[in-house]
Amino acid sequence: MTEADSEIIKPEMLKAYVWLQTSDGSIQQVEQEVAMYCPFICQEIHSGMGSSKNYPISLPSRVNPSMLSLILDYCRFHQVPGRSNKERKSFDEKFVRMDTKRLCELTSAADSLQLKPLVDLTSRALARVIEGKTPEEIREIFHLPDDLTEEEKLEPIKNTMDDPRIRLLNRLYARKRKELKERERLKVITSLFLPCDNVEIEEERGDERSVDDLLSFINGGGEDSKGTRTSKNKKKSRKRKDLKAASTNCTSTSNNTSSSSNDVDLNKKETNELHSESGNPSLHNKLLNDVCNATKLLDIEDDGLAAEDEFDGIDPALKEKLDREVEDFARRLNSDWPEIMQEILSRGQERRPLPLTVNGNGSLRRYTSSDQRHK
Amino acid sequence: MTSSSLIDQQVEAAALKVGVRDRLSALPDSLILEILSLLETRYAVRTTFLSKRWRDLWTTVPRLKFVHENPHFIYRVLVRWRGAKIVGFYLQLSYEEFCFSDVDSWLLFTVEKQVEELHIIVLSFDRTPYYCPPQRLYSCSSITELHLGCYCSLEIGGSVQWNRLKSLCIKVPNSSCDDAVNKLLLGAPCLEEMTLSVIVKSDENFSIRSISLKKLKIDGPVDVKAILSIWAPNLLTLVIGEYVVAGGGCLFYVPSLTKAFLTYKSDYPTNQVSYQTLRSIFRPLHDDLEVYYQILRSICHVKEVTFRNCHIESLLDMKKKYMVLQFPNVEFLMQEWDMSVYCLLDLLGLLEMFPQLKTFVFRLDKALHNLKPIFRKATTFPRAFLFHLNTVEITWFAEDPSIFESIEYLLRKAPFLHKMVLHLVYYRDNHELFLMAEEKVRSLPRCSPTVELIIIEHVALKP
Repeated sequence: MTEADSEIIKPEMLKAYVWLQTSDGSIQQVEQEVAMYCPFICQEIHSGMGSSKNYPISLPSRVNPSMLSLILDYCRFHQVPGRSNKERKSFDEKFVRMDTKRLCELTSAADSLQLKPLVDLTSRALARVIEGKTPEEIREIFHLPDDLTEEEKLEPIKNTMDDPRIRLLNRLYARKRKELKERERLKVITSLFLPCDNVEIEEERGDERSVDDLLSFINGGGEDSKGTRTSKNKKKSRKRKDLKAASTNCTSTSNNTSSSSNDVDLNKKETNELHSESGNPSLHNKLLNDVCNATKLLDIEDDGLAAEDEFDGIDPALKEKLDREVEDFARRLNSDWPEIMQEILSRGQERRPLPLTVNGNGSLRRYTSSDQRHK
Repeated sequence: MTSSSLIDQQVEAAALKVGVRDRLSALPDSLILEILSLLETRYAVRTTFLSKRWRDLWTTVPRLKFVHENPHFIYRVLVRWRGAKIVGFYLQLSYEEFCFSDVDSWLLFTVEKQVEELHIIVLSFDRTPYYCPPQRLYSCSSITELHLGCYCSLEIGGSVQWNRLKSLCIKVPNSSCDDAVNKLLLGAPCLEEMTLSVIVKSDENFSIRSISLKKLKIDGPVDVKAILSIWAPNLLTLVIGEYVVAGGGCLFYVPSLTKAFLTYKSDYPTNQVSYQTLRSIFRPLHDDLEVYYQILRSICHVKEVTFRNCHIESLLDMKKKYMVLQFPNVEFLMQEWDMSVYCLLDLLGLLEMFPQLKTFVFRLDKALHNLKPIFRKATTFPRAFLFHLNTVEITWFAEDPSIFESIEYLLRKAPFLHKMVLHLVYYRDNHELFLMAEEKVRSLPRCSPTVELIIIEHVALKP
């Protein structure tokens, strides 16, 4: 019936048209098949409206003329059945490229016309705009009123510092920092203790070279360099060995009974050896002795390199103990620095001059009283 | 102070003139909630800071989406949330971030709130440990989409009541899963889509029985020494993963099947095991010719078939051994290729199996775009094929001249060719090559007057 009416009015047109009236009163003529894509208009048509200019379909107030033209563009494209999904998708992508204001208006208009596909499309676009932005940015984009009090804004941040996980993390970081500091100092010690060519302390390379140098220094420079082993494991275990060596030296000099609890297998017999060798000379002599012993240790341990792997599985309690002992030793070494240097220089004069490396702490403490030996 | 308030006034006056208002808040609450439910919950929760109206708006958002959040955040959100019903709950975590008992709590919360779409995805390097969903999940009658992306040990006490479940995606690790899976199917009378990843290595039969199922995707490794049977009279689409093999045979009763995808790339976690090792443990489907033949025979009435390259050899073998196969209804044939040599001649030898073939699609796996596969052309195509050919879609490299001879042949000889789509891959700095190729193809003589030539470019990185 509707079709017949419109055909009488416009016989030369093959298409059917409907009349739509927007909130501002203006009336538009639209192809029926395009307008029917909107469920709202569809309903209105079925209830008899829109067939003539005098009885236009009055659209909801949220639909203004510019929005209506956009919506009709959308409908015009999508109501054609032969389009592939790809085509529809690319049309949609280009369609929603507009400023957010218009996007909101369009969403509102499409919602009032019950055009769900367009509502979904614009909602997704709006969601993409909101996503990842701070509240200030969102407020700015959408011109939202900034009517929260300062207290309300700060609410969630006030109590976050009390999060137990953050507390634990802070504790862990503090511990880590401490460990790193110790390691730094130990690095400095080993670089001072064992002569290197370069001042730059690249952890693993420095290690290897220092052992080489030490061996050649102690054994008259004719020893074949054992440092050609380049595997990282070996370097790491070498470093551990240094630690162990240092710690065993430390224990021997301080005569700690707890040192015997150094129950890493490879060290056991060496520790005994050390104990027998540590006599009562002055501190720096003793330390030098320990250097030799350390190298002997290293020498012996070189052969047992394959068994080094158990070093890697050292348990943390033991490690902590060793770290403590190392720190102890490092502290004392640090205090006796000048005298030790003297000794080393005097001994190694024929071989080669040792470069003076600056203590990592930046200080060369003069140690006056040898009585301040830590026993 | 006074000067700034003056400016404010001026700005406001101007704004009123233009008619600028708070557009977003002009939208009704329901729309805003829809928009918020498209966001990840961590962003939706942030809207509480926008303005007074938005303070508690997020608490009724119907969909919750948590991606790699810490469990505390999720608990906090759930405590504040005060909607009546959860429409969608989407959770994606990696295994290190939480424990399964947390997932239990969240799951029960959503079940209580009549959840409809439930997705729980756990990312981990291996498939253990297995998650055992709480019993109440099985009696959740509101659920329509259940997607459990971690291996679940199904221990179902009592019956399953998934009356509204339409789509199910689960991974089942053990060999006694046959019972469990069928219990699920029994309890889901409206189930239309199922994706099932099973690890079956046993001598037991493994069967899937469902009247309502329309789309089934099976992934392995399934190494059922006995029989794999699928009884689904209304099944329309069947997708079989590459590690599905049935040592004893296959019984497929799928009379309504229209689409078959034979072996798609499995997402079984293979980062611990090399592809070769996996292949040696679980022989892929097409290696066992007898079984493969059985499968193909039971699906020979389909209309659309997608093969991967590995099948071509098996099909040729079958032909040699006189295992006759015909796909009388197939109108659409797609080949997904991921090997470095493509021999068109091989395919041509098989074309007689598809007498009604109208559409032929040849797709190249994206990974190959950076390599240089070889195309061994063919210059004669069977006549029947050419006469039926309606649509062709080929992906290949713009600089390889051998493809053009075949294309030229097709264009010249296929009288009813309606559409040809060419995906030409070229290296980033060779755009001119693509243009040249395009021009060349467009200038080729065409037999069919109405053929529509679409050329799409793909850029690949130089190898």
